[in-house]
Amino acid sequence: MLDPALLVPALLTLGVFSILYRENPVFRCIEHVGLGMAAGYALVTIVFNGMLPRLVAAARHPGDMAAVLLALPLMAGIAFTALRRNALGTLGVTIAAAIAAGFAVPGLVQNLILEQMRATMVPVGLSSDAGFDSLVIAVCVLSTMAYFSFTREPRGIRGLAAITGLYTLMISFGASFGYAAMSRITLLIGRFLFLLRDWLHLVN
Amino acid sequence: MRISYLGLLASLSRIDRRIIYLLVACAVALPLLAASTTRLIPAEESQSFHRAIAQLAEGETVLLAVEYNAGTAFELEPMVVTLVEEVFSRNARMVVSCFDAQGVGLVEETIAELAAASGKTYGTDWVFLGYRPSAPGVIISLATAPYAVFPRDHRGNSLSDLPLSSSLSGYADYQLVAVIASGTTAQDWVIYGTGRFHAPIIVGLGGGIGPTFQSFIDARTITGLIAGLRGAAEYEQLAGRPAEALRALSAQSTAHVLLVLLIVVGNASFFAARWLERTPY
Repeated sequence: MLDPALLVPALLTLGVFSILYRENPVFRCIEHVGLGMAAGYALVTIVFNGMLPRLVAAARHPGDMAAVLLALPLMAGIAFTALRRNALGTLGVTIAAAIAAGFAVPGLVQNLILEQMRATMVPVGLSSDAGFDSLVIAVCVLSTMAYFSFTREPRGIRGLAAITGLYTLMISFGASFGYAAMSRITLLIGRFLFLLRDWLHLVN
Repeated sequence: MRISYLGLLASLSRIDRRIIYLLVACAVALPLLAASTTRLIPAEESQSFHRAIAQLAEGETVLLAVEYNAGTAFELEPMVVTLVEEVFSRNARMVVSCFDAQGVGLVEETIAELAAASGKTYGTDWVFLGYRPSAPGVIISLATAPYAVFPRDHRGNSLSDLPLSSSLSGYADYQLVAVIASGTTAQDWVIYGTGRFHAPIIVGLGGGIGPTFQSFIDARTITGLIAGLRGAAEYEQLAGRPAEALRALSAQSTAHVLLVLLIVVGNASFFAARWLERTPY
C-alpha cells in the first residue's frame, strides 16, 4: 500500500530526475521551489537564532555593555548590506574581519602549518611500513614543492622532481575526485532507497 | 577486421548519455533490490573514531557538532545515528550544536527520536543548543563562554535551568568532541577547536572533503576520522550496529565499478577514434 503522504516527495524526486532525459519546465519549477524553500528556511533560522536575540537583548538591557557591544556589529552589518558601503557598515565589517583574523591566525599557523610540518619531518626508511610511508610522504612533499619552484627552468633532476610533483598532485586530486564521485552516488542511493523502500515498499 | 573492431570501439564515444544514466540507475537499484550486504576491513582511522566513543564512561559528556541539511543528510545521518545510539548506550550525556541553518530541524528530530528510543530525558541526558551564525565564533564560545552565544537552547529553555547545561563552563565540560560535517565547518574545528578543547576531537565527513583530512590524522590534530558512506559503514560494523550505510554500500560498490569501467571504455574509445583518424585505410 503506497503511503499517500509520500506521494508529493516521490513525485518531486522523479521530477528532478526528469532533467536526465531532457530539459523540461517541471524540473525548472521544482528546482526553483526547492531553492526558494531552502533560502527561506535558512533566512528564518538565521533571523530568529542570530539577529533577533541579539537585538532584543540589547533593547531589553541597555545597561548591559556586553549585549550592546554584541548588537553594534550586527546593526553595522545590516547597515552595510542595506545602505551599501557606508562608513558605519564598513567599520563594523572591518572590526569583525579583524577579530576573526586575530582568532584564526594562531590556529592556522599551529594546526595547518606547524603541525603538518612536524608530521612530515619524521624518520624515513625502507625497513618498516611507517618508515616507508614517511619516505613516500617526504618524496611527494619535496617533489610538489619542486613543481611550484619557478626560479629556474626545470631540467635534469629538477625536471624529474617537478614531473614527480605533478603526478603527486594528480594522484591527490584524483583521490579527492573519487571521494566526490562517491559522495554524489551516495546521495543518489539515498533517493533510490526513498523511492524503492519508503514509497514503493520494494525493499525491506 | 581490426579496423571494424576499432570503429565499434570509437563509436562508443557517441553513445547517448541517457543510456549511461540508465546503467548507473540499474547499478544502484539492483543491489538495493537484491538486499546484498558487504563485509569491510575497517581503516585505522575508523577504528580510532570508534575507540574514542567506546572509551566513554558513564556520566561523561560529549559535545556533538553537526552540520548537514536535507541535501547531504543521507551521507551523514547514518554517522550521527550510530554515534548517538552508542553514546546513549554507554549512559554518557550529550550537548548538541547545529552548524547548518537549513539542518536544525532535521538534526533535532533525528536525535530526539533516538533519545526517546533509548529512554533518555531531554535536559538531563542531552541538550540541543540549536544554531548560531558564524562557526568560528560559536566554536570559540563553546570552549570559553557557552552562555554568551547560547543563553537559551533551541527549545527556548534557559541553559541554567537544565540539569545538564546548568554547570557548563567551557572546554573542561567535555570528554570528547565529535564533529559530523559536510562542509568547511570541520576545518573550522581544526583551526579554532584544536588546542582550545582539551578533549580528543573525532570527525565524520562528507566524501568530498574526506581526503583533505587524512593529513590531520597523520599529524594527530584529530583522533579519529570517518569519511563518506564507506566510513559510515565501517563505523556501523565496528559499533556492531549494521544499518543504513552498510546496506547502501553494495550499491555504492557496484556504481563505482561501473564508473571505472565507463572511464576505461571512454578512454579506449577516444584513442581508437584518434587512431582511425590518423590511419588512411
